[in-house]
Amino acid sequence: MRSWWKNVWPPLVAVIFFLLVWQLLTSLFHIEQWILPAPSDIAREAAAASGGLWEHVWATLKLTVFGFAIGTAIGLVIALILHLIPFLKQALYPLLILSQNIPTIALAPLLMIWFGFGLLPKLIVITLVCFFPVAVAALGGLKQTDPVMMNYMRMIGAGKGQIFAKLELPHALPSIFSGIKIAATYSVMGAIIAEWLGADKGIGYYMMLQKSGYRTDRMFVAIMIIVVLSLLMFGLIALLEKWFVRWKPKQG
Amino acid sequence: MINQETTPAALEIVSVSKSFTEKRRTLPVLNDISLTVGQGEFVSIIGPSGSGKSTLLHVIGGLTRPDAGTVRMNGAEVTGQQGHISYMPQQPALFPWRTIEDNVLLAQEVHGPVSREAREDARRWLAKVGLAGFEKAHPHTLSGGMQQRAAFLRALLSPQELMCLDEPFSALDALTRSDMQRWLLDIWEENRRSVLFITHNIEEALLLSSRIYVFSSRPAAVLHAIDVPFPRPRREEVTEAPEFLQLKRQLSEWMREEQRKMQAAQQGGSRL
Repeated sequence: MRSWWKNVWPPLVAVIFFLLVWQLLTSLFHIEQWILPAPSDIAREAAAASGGLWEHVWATLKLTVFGFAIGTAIGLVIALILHLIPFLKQALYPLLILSQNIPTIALAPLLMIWFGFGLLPKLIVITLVCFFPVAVAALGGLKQTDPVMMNYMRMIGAGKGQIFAKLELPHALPSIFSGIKIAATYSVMGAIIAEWLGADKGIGYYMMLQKSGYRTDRMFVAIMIIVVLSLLMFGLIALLEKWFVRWKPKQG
Repeated sequence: MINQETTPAALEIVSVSKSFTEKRRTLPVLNDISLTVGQGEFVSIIGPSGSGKSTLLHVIGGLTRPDAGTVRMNGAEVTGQQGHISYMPQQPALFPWRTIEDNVLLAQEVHGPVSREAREDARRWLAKVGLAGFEKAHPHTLSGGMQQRAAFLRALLSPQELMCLDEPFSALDALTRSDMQRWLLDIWEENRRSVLFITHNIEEALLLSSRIYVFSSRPAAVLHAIDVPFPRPRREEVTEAPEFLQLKRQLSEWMREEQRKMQAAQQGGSRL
């Protein structure tokens, strides 16, 4: 607990300091609220609006979790297939990298045209941002199997399937998890983008609504919620990782 | 020795040769190697490092097909077939995500489901080799010597008759190493499995083996095969016997000569 606190207090102090400076500067220079509201205004607005916000938060959270699960699953499946069939990896891996040069935000309107304004195009957007870090991390982890352990498995006559299940997969777990952690934070962003483009509820939709009313304070509230959601997703995966990779010796 | 005439040898390598092609050049690695490990025999291969011992092991393990020659185990030809040996590598290669108990059972697991009796047996053995209380520990919490004992146990509990030990103590410090040699001697004399032991430590080979094959530098060929005459059970005192010292001197001389040849070849610009 004490060491935990030791790690936490420096960034905490930094954040408090940052908020204080922000508060001071907005009142010192009389900055209009619709340009940059003070932290105290945002807090007040958050408290006032909290009742009506739950519906939006819930919608975004559902979309995020759903999309994240699909994206991660597809990422893992792609990594698995490419790993087990080297020819496919050779053929498709460069395309996989290339696909990431298409900005999601440019693709999203197209998806709306093709698939309408329902759940499907939104899930596709989140999947597109989530599968890539998972697939790349998993492929990297599977490729870097310890050669000594690999030689041992082959010498005792283990088959391809056994080598995969007993050695390659557990060996790759830490890197798979670092990919999933990235995907977890991306998934919230994906959900917000999807909601910007066409939704009737959700934090992304709420942001668009407040933008048209120049309610900067409410937009900041939305941003705060997005940050909290991202941290929540990240923390959840980090906990899962801690449980799955509990064998890993601690550094230092 | 009587055993050997009635039952087929645990391992019989007959005129195995292997060369690799690299940049259109042929590099001979194994040159007409023949050797035998009888049932319940402890046989060592000793030779300069980089002489192709690991290639030979890959041939025995079935990972590499020899260009010529055959590998027979217990009378059946197994050239190029995997899964007939139990193996202990140079580094312990314990899987960090498995507990010591699960690590020790890994080789059995690869060849079929692990029974409750096998698990209990493994626990008994762990206690016997001084790893009681570490059954549920992960490998990184163990010292190097303890890890090697677990790796040895994993090979010992593997169902195949022939154990191939590939320089198992070379990564240990001198003190731990001599401890482990004595430990291995005791355990082997109690169990009498067929062992092929690869090393470049002369004293280790003499202390443990019934027969030693001396390999030449690359391409590896069998230079000498010596029977080690000391009776069993052996005690460490045997290392001070005049005969032991004489054999040791003889082997050192052969080895030094091979090392010299190899260095000369290296300086001659030819690759190993």
